[in-house]
Amino acid sequence: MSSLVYFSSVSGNTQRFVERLGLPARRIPLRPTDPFLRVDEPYVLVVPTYGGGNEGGAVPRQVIKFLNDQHNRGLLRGVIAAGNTNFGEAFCIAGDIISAKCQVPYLYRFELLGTSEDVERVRDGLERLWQQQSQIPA
Amino acid sequence: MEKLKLVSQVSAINWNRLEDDKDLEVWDRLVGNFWLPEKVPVSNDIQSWNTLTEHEKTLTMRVFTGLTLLDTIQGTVGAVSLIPDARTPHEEAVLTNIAFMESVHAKSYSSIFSTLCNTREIDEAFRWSEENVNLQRKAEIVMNYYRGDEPLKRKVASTLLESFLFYSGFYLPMHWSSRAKLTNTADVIRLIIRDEAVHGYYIGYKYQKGLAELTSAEQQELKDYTFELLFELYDNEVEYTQDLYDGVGLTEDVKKFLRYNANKALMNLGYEGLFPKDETDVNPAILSALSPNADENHDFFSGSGSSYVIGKAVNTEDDDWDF
Repeated sequence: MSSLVYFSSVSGNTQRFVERLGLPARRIPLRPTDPFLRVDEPYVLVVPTYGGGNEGGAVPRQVIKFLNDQHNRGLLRGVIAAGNTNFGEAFCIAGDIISAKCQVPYLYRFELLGTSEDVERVRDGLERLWQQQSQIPA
Repeated sequence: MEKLKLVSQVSAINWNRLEDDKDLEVWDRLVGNFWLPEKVPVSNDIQSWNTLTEHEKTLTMRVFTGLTLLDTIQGTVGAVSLIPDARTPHEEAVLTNIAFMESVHAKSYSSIFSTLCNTREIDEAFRWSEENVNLQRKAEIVMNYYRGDEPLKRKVASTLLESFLFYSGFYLPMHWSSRAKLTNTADVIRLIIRDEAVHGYYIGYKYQKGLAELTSAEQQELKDYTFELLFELYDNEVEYTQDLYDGVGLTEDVKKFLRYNANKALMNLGYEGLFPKDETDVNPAILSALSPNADENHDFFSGSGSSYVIGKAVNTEDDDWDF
C-alpha cells in the first residue's frame, strides 16, 4: 500500500514530479471553492515551498487548510518538499515547517522539477517506508 | 525605419478580475522581496576588500561589470521586450516590476564599486567589459532574440539569461563569502539571486503556457531551439569562464556551477536537466554560501532508517495554522 498527497500550483512543477513517480496520488485542490480533500489512508505529503525567500507564507495556504483537518493530519507519515537553493535559508523550508508542526519525518527534498535520481530515490524510499509501516502492528 | 513595438491595445487594468492567478501571486512575491542596495552595509567590506590581491580585486570588478551588463540588458531591453507578448494585462504589470528590479540590480554593482574602489579602477573595469569578446558575444546572442519577432523564443532567451548566464559571475561572491570575505557584498548578490529565481520561474511559466497551445511539431521545434541556444551559450560561457578564472585556478569549479544552473534554467522552461549528476556536483562550500541549509541531510530514505529527521523549529509561523 502506498499513497501520496501533493499540492501543485498551476505551474505544475510538483505535479510533474509526482507523475514521474508513477504512484497513486491525490491532489490538494487549488481553489477555496473546490471540494475539500479528505483522505482515508496513511500518506506522504509532497509540497513546493512558497514565499520566494520571505519569512512566512512558505507552506501554501491550501496545504495548511488540508492539515488543519485533524483526520487528515493523523494519517500523515512524512513530508517531501521542493524548492530552489536561490532562496537561501528558505530553501525547501516548507518541509521543515510541516515536519516540525506535525512531528513527522522530513523524508526528502528536491529542486524545481527534480532530477531522475530524485525520482528513483523517492520511489525506492517510499516502497521501503510503506513496507516498514505495514510491519508495525496497529 | 524600424517601428517601435508596443502593446497593441491597452485597457484599464483591473486587479480584481484575474485571468491567471499566477500574475497576482508573482506580483505579491516580487513586491514583498523588494530591496535596495543602500540598505546593505557594504562599507563593512572595505577591510576585507583590502586583503584581496590586486589580481583578485581586478577579477572581482570584471565579474561585476559583466553582471552589470546583463542586468542592464534585462532591465532596459529584455523584460521590456516581453511586454507586447504578454497574455494578460497583469503580466504586463509584472514585467514592469521585473524590468525595474533589473535596473536596481545593475545599480547595486555601481554602489558596491563606489564603496570599495576608486574612479580609475571603476572606469578600467567598465572598459574591460566593453572589450571582452565573450562577454560582448553573450550580450549579442541574447539581444538578437529580443529584437526578433518570435515571442516564445524571446522568453527562452530571457529565461536562459535570468537562470543561467548570470552564474559564471555569481560564483565569485559566493566563493569569497565561503572564505568569510566580502560577506556584505555577498548579501547583495544573494538578494539578486533570489529575485532572478522568481523572474526565471515566472517567464518560464509563461513560456510553457504559450507552448501548450502549439502543435506537437511546433513544440518539438521550440525544444530543439532551446537546447541549441543553451549549447551555444554554454560554449561561450566556458570561454568566458576561462578568461576570468584560469588565473585563480577556479575554472573547473565554476563550470560545475554553470551546468548545475543550466539544468535549473531548463527546468524553469519545463524541460528536464541536460547535464548528469556527476557534472553538476557543485562545490559544497559554494552551495552552502548560496543556501546555508542546502547540504544538511534531508535524505531519510538513504539513511539507516532508524533515525528520524524532524524539521527544526522555524520561526515562520503562519496565522492560517489552527493546531
